[in-house]
Amino acid sequence: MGFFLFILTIIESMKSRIKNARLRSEMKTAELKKKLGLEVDETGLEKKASKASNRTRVYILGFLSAVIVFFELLPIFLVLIFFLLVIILVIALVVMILSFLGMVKNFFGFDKPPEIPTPDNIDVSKVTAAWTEEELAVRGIKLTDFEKNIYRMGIVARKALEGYGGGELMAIEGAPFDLRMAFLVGVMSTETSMEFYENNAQHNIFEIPSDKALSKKGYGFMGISHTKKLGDYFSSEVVSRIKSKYSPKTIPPDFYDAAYVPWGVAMSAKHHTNDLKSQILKPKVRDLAYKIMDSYGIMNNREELFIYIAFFLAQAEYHGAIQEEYEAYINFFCALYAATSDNDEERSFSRWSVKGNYDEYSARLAILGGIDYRDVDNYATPDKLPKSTNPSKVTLYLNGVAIDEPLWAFLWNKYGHMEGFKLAWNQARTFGTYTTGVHDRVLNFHYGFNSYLQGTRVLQLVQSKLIGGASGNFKETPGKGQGIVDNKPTEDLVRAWLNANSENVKRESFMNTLKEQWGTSSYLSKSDNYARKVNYVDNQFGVPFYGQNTRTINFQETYGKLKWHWGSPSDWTFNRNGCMVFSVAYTLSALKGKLINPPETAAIMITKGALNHEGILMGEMYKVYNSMGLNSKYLESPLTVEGKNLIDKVLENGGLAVVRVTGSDCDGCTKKSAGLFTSSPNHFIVLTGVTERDGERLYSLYTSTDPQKSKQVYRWDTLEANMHKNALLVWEGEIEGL
Amino acid sequence: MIFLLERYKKLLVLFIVLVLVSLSGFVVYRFLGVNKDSNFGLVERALNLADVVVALRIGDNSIDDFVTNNSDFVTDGLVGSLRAYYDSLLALDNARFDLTGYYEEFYAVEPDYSGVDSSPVADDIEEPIVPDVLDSSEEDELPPANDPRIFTENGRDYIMVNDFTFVDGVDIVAYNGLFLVISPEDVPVTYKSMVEDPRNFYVYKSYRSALDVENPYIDVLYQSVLSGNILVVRVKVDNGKLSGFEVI
Repeated sequence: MGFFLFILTIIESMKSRIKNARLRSEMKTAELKKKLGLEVDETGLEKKASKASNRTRVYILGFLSAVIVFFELLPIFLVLIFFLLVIILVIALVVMILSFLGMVKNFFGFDKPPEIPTPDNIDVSKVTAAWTEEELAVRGIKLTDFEKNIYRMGIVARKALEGYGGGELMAIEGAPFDLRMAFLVGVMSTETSMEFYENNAQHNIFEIPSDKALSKKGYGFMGISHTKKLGDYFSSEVVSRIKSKYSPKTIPPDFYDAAYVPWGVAMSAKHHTNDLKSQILKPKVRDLAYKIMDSYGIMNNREELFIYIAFFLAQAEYHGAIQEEYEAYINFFCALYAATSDNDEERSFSRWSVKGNYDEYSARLAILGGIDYRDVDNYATPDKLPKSTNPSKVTLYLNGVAIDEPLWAFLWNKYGHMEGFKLAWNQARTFGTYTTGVHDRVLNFHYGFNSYLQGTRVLQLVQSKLIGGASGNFKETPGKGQGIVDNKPTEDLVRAWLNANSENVKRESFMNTLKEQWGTSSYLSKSDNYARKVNYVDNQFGVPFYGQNTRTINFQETYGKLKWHWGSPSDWTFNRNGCMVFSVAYTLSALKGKLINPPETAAIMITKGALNHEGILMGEMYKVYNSMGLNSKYLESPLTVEGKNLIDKVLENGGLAVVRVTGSDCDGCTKKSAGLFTSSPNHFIVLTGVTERDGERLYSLYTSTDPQKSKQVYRWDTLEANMHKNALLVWEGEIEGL
Repeated sequence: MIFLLERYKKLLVLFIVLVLVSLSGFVVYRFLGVNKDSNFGLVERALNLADVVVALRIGDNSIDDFVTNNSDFVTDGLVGSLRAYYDSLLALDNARFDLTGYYEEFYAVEPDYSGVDSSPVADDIEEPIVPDVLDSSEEDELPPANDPRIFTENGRDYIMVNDFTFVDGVDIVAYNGLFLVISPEDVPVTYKSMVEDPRNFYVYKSYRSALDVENPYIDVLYQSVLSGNILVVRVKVDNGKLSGFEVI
């Protein structure tokens, strides 16, 4: 419409111009006629002039066309402006939302703190060490100086594997990080017996280079030649990155780069990487490995096995192996793997473990037996290898069962009929007689295996101590038990016991009164507590103080006035005479790392027949401990040399001893200074540990009636003067001789 | 015009909504202080100062670096405060443990065990008293001599706190015939123990500023990784400069 009017306006305008031009021409003609005296039609001219002058019409048309065009184009403009505004507004909104998130800080003071792992909120079963300086700073207090250095080594091993910005090291596709760590850290076992300094001194390895003597001419710490420099392995950028992070505080006169652990570990990781790349991660090696796997019937998890084989070979290379020897080595590795299970799907190197010393020399006794490794050529077959005369130094375990013969003999008895394994032994023998160069290549068979076992072990030890440790995970869970008895929660155990017969079911009400108190601790709830006032802390196991007392109200547990049994007399309460239950609760809590408090312990003891309305049945206590995966031993005569030795052995191995002490007025008790812990004829306490101070052996203990007494340590003669009758030894795991 | 409104009604509604949302956002932004900390440089310097203070508590003295790098923005009073704070930390190393007071409070009076009886043993057997083969001597072993670290002043016994060596969290002190187990919680804090205590490893969490008040300040919040405890360093501001601080 607007366009049409616009065109019309132009046409009218042009028509007007044409008419005007024609009019001007006629007017000139009229003037000439006037000059010539001719007649002129003035009126006609005026009419024509009036007709030609249609400007008004043109203006109106122009105006109308402009208005119409404006309104016709307006929506287009509006849409364009609208979208422009939308874009601006969206951007503004995004900015404002971001600002608003920041505004929370100003509204409420602080950001919501992120979840920070603290001893209280750590799920020990799910946490692994991060191998960082920060973690060492906050949790390292639990570690010994040696363990701190192992942790520090873990830090630099992690950083070395991450490559200091120069690309990952010791990386094999599918290889777990922990496995790479174990192989790298495990080199320490073979090369320096897991010692950082001479005489096992413990300086900070980030500050002081190792002073370990060069084991052989030309070689040094971590098996890296003393002539090698960081720059021989890494680019100048990576070298400066490493040195900016780690540099020794003191430089001894005979310093070499590898002796400084952060550098030595990095060089070792690079050395492994070079071997892996240049020699091992090759199609022909993989083909060879798969062919040998076939011969051992290994059809499952072959890639996973190849990762181990690659690391084993890398460490054999580390020690001078050459490719021509690979076939024999791989046969040995496959035998190690195949021996882990008859079921191919269940085979795993993780089924091997080691106990005892951390050094390769000790491990070698378990691998080669009691011979000098240079003498292997004297044995046509390894089944004749003699057992070590000192086998206790290192024991290899397969599926938890100790290997009672040299490892080579053990494997020979399984696979000695196979040509490949014969080849392995013959190669070990042959190289064992070399008199030039590296003559102890028999080591190459087990170098990597030893690294794997010892590295895994030492890292796990440090990790578990750092994250879990002896302090346990003591949290209140009111009304809910924490024990696992016969692989079932205490609740299930008690329910099954109540339903077992018509007599038991009568105890339901009593059991419920106990159950209401399970998972409670006045020490943890801070509702008490005298133990807190005296700053009682159980430094051995971290168990909260379970307090027993009849007088001081701020000493008592909420269940103190409850009966621990269902019969009479009615004043047999936890406070009055529950010390044995308190002591057993302490042992269960300490060794299981959970708050298994006296009411829960009483319930467990009742279901196991170790507690009834007449009292404790000492002869049944073993059932309580066995059902919770613990061991116990009833000791009739703790006051003999043998008895004391057994108590010492248990305490030194992390176990506990429940002992009976007596008051001064007990019948027949004439010992000096009796009555230190009680005024009654009997009282049960728990010996929790033994330590040495200035040459004196001192015993720590828990006595439920007295946090102050529990905060002291005692000579044996003091304890002996108070002890009588029997004792109950409790421990977890195996203790030799018990 | 009417037909135009009809035609673009939805777009128009959307447009109006957007305008309203934008306006309300602007109001929030402008009047509720989203951008309150416009003085970013000041906040940054306050955070740096708080870092210096927290670092002092774990033995890392970087006061001089801080003063050098921020000489245009810190007052002499602040520098004096920093040095005085550091001196006060160092002075903590003179702390001593009042052993007499500790003993009198917890050990001088023997506990009263009356009312507590033996746990009954249902299957107890009467065993003969076992000959005490371990203690053939009739003589008592001598009680332990008092710990050599103990010193006496005005009739009271003390140990310098820094003389304690806590192995696995405890130290053992022989005193008045007893072996007392002393833990760090029993003794006053020293600078040495602060530096060595991993609970003093604090990490920065956040800050809040109050710059429009009569005595403006910026609170910088830290949290202990181990204990979860909060540490606040309140940095005082005066005329756009950092003028002091206090540890809350």
